[in-house]
Amino acid sequence: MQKIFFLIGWVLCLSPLAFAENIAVIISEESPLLANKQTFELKEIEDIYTGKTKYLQGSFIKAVNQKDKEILRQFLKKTCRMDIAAYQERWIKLELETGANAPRIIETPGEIIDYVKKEKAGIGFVWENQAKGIQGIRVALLLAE
Amino acid sequence: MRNKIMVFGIGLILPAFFLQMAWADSSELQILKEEFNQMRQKMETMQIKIEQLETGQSKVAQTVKEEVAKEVAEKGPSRLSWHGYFGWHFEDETRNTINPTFDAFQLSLVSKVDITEKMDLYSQFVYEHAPFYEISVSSATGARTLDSRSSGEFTVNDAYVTYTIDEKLKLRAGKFATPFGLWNTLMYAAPTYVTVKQPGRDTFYDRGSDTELDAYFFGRYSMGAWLLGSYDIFSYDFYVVNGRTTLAQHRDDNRNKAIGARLGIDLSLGSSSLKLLYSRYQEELRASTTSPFFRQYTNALSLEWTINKFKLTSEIEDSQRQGAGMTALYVLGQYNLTDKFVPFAQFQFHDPDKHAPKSKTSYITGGLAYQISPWRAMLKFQVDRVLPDNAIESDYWRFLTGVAASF
Repeated sequence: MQKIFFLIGWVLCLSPLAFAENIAVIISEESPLLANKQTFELKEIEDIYTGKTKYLQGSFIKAVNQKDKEILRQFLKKTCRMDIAAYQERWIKLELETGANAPRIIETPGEIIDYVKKEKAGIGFVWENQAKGIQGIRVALLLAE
Repeated sequence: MRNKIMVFGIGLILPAFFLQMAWADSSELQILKEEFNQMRQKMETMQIKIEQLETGQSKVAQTVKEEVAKEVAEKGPSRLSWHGYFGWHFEDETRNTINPTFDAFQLSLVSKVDITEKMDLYSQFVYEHAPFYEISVSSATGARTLDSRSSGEFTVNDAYVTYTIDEKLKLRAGKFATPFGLWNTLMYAAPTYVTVKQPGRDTFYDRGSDTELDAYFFGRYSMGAWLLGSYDIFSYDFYVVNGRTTLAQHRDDNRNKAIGARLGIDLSLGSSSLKLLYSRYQEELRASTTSPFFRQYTNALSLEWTINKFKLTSEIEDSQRQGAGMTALYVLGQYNLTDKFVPFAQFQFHDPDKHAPKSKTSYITGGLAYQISPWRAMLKFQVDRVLPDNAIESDYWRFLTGVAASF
C-alpha cells in the first residue's frame, strides 16, 4: 500500500514538470520585424498583442493567436499579464473605440507555422517543441515556463 | 479431263483471289495504320500545346496571385476594418408617471481605413432608437421626399482623420466624442460595459435637462482638433473644439469654444493593473443668443483597478458654472465569476447645485451580466434603487434588462 502512495506521490510531483513547457514566439525566417536584432523584448510582444504597436520597421504587423486555451492563457499571462477575459474585454474596447482589428485566431499550431512562413510580417506562438527543426521560421522570443 | 482443268483453274484462282484480297487488306491496313499514326502524332502535338497553354495560364494566374499577395503583404492585411455593436433594453420603474419602455437603443457601424501607414480615417454611424426613414415618391409630380415614420435618429457620431507622427504624437481632426473620463468615447457601446446603460450614466455622464447644453459637465460631442499620444505608462489628450451649442439636436452654432485635456497613467504589477486619468474641460459659453458669456470649469478623476477577476471603476468630477458648484461620482465593482457570469454593483451620487438644499440624488444598483460569448454578446439584468433627496420625488425602484452584441 505504501508503495502505491509513494508511486502516486511521485507521479503528482513530476506532473507539473511533465506539462511545463516553453512557448516560442515565431516569425518568418525572412521577417523584417526584428531588423538587426536577434530577439524581441517582452515589452515589444506585449505592445503588439495589446494593440499599442501596429507597425515595425515599416511593416504592418500581422499577429495571430492560437485557439487552444491553455497556450493562449499562458501566453497572455506571460506577455500581457492578463487573463483571457480581460484580454477580450480590452480588444472589444479597442475595436469599437479605435477601429483596430484584434489578432486573428488560428486553429492549430501547424496552421500558425504555415501562416508565419507565408506572411513575412506575421507573428504567432506555439509550444517550443512544435517549432523545433521547422524550416522557414525563427524563434523571436522564448517564454520560459 | 475437262473437270480436272476446271478444278485446277479454280484451285489457282481462289488462292490468288484470297492472296490478292489479303494483300489488298494488308496494304489498306498499312494505310490506315499510317493515317492513325499521323492522327495520333497530331493529337500528341495538340495535347502538348494544350498542356503548354494550361501551364502558361497557371503561371500567369500564379504570378497574379503572388503579386496580389505581395501587395497585400506590403500594404497590410486589411486597409479597411468594420466593427459594430447593437443594444436593446427594457426599462420599467415604480414611479407611476413613467411608462415601461422597450428600446432598440443603438445600432452602430464603426469603420476605419488606413489611408497610409501614418494616416487613417475613423467613422462611427449610429442609428439611435431604430429610426425608420423612407424616400417616398409622389405619383402626381414624381417629387421625392424623405419621411420619418418612427422616432429615432441617424447620426454621424464620429468622423475624423488621425495622422500618426509617432506613438508619442498623433494629430486628429474632425468630429469626435469628447475624450473625457473613461466612457465618453464609448458612450453607446453597450458590449464594453456590464451595466445596461453606460456606467455613471445618471450622474457623471448626466445629460441634464437643458437640451441646448447637451450635458451638465462637459460637451459630449466635439468638432475640432485633438492632439494625443502615449509614452511608456503615460498618455495624454489635448483638444480645442467648438463648445456646446445653444441649438437643439446638436446643431452646431459655432458660438461657444472649449478646450480640454486628459492625462493618464497605466500601472501594472503582477496580475493587477491600475489606470488613472485626470480630465479637464473648460468652456466659454452662453445658454442663449442674448445671454452673457460665462465660463465653466470641470475637473475629473477616473480610476480603473483590476485585481485578478475583480474590477473597480470609479469616477468623480466637480464643476463650477455661474457660481453654482456641481459634483458627481460613481463607483462600480464587478467580478468575473466564471467566463459566463459577471455580477456587479454600482453606487452613484449627483448634486447639480452644491449650494442649494435638497438637490442631491443617489442611485444604488445591483445586477448580473451573462456572457453568451465573452464581450461579444451579453444579457444584462439590473435593479436600481433611486433615492432623490428633494421635496418633489420619493424613492423608487427601476428595473432594466438588456441585450448587447458586437462584431
